[in-house]
Amino acid sequence: MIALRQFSRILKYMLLLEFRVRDAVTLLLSLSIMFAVIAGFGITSASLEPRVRERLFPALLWLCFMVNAAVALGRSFEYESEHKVLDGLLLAGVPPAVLFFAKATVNILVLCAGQVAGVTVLGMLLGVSLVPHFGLFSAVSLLVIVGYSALATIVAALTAGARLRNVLLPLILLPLLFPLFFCAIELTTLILEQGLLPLSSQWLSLLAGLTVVYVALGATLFEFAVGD
Amino acid sequence: MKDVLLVAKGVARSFRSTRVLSECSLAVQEGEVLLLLGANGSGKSTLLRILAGLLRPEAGVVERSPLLLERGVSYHAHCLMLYGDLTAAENLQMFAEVSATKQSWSSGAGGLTESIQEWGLAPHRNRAVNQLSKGLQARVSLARGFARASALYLLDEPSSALDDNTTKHLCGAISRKVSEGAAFVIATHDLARLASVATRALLLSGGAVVNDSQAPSSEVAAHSVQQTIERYRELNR
Repeated sequence: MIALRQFSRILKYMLLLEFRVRDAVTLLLSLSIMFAVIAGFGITSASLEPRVRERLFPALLWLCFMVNAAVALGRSFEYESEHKVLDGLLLAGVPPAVLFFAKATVNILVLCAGQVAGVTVLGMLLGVSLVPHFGLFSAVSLLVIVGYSALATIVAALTAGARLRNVLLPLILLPLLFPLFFCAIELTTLILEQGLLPLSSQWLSLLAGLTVVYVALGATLFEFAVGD
Repeated sequence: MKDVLLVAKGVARSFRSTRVLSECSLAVQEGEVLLLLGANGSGKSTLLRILAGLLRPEAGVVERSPLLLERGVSYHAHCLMLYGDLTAAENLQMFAEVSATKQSWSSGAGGLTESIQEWGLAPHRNRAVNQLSKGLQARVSLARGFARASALYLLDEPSSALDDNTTKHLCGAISRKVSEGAAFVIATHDLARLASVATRALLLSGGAVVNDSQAPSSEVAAHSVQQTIERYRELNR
């Protein structure tokens, strides 16, 4: 109960800070829209068949998300590092796992906003609509975003004190996320082509498994990431 | 007989190839105000971070009493441990709300207001910490630390950014906490303003304890504090 109370309170102040400063969400939204516009116009000018464009859509969408999110979350621990507030919270008796879940939740919300912008703009420009498959696509996106956020949070915490953190974060994070994105691309293609997401799909099992592993790893390793 | 809150035995720590602390041992009792003296780079801040549990020693151990584990440690350092873009009041409220032992804080609206008034932060309560002067930022950090009824307070150069009035207030706050049984370890160069509250002094040099005024009676302790301070001044000449 105490941990849940601490989680809700820290989340409240982290969200307040994110709302007040808005740098991560502004950066992610801007990058998502710009990337989608560039990719959309490039594909449109190639005069590809609608079916080919639909086939390209998942890879472009998730590439856009993967790169932009890595850039935006590079600043994930900027507020905490500035005056070492995590040290204060740890001394106040907040378990590291609670700090991890609060930070990861903020990142999930930021990533959701970026994903909505990317899907909307890229979908409009390529003439691909995910509206008929909203539920299925949302489920896949949520699993990817939760896994991404968990891994990005722990890697951002590990690199927060490094001078080259803006270089280190994407270099460490992106290769670790490859399996997650292979699953995301395959499942989005399946949803667009067949309009269904079979629970027996190996890609879905792999995606769910990876997400669970990343969240468990993040919650366990965060203590070492914020320690000396 | 006062309880021992914390015992550090043979604590050592390096950063890269530089040995900062070597074989450092000390014990801190309830109601004690221990001044940690030493030149820049002598290992005072590193020792405080190890005592706080924020840094792991490479060698040696730090043993904490059940009382200390229950009531926790308050730590004030140069890094404010506050959110720079939250206001002073929001930061203090957050720490009050997330404390694991709610009763150990002067929590709630009344406690928060009291803490803000006590440290002269009322006119600045709604300003972001990053917009405050160094002295006011230090006051917010001290207000956060003193709002908690901890068993041990670790203060790293607490008066370095404070004016005389606030330092007097700090000395008063230390005396009040000591009368409630709390202990303090204070790393400082500000002997003119903080030596009056000390019951013991410990001199660090080259990462090791070279002088400890620990003594059983307060009279002898006061005398020994002065001797340790003199030794510190000699080393700095």
